[in-house]
Amino acid sequence: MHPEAAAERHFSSPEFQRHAARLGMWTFLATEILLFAGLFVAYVEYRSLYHESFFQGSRHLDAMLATIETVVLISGSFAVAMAHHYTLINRSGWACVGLLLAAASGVAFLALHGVEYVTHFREGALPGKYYTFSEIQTSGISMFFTLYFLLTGLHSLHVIAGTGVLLWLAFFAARGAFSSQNYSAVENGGLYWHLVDLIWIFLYPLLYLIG
Amino acid sequence: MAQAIRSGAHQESAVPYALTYLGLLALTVTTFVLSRKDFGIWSFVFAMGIAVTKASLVVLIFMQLWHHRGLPRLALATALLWLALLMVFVVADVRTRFPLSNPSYNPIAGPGEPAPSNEKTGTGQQNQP
Repeated sequence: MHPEAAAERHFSSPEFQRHAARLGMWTFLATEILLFAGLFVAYVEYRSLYHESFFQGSRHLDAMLATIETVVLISGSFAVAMAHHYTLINRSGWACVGLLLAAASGVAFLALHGVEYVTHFREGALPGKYYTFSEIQTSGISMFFTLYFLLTGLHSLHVIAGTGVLLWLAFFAARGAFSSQNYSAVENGGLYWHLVDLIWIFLYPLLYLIG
Repeated sequence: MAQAIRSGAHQESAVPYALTYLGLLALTVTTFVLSRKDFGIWSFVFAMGIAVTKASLVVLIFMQLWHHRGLPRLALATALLWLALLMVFVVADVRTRFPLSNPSYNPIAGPGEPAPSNEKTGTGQQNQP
């Protein structure tokens, strides 16, 4: 990797190469949205079938903790946006700091979410037939926690992957690999992290806020 | 085309990012505070309205779709269209069910549960394929 990376031979210019990379990334992000789409549709259906249980399940979750998790993820997104900005003005050091802060936000989010999971494991609010939580025993409550674990679990897997990508980018940024002429990796890695944020922006009200 | 690709490739000021960040924080606090009160159906409208606003800010500013017109926007719009189609038709399916569109036995009843049936003859299990 080199700050003045030239375009591959089949691209007429670096600009076109960046454009192609960006479009490829957006196409991938579109498939990621569809990956979550099935679970979102399942949520809508089961919520309408078991409205009372979803209300009680949602009220049982820790909305304050989820709000802190939201702030952490949004801060990570901001850090990535700033890393992209600093790459474009050739400040590799600051770009590296932004990427590391964003990766730290990913780790912090996972830790906070781990606290949530441990609480639910202890009280038996688990997916499917493993649900043994005695305080809420209404019909369909198991489906709420099944969807809760599937949605947040799939999202957390994306946070893990995104954190890895950010650390990888930070490593190369620290070596001065990116510049205003070679920033596609930072831009597209950043897009992935913003998507992780985007999914959470909808999970947060659907699971924690809407009773 | 080349002009379209070049335009907006460089976000020269960090101010829009900072303002977007502050806006997202303010909206997060707002949606949390609103969720602690019961506004009936409006609670849902407020929560989803704020979520859509936050998502739009992230997509347009952080993800730069405000600048990157054309194909990236088309990719996102297509994904949202497929999501909407999936949502609408699955919901429409469940909402428009009537006895003749349902199985004569309850395919998801747990062991020992009676199988509800709308047919005269139906304990149901005998009709199971």
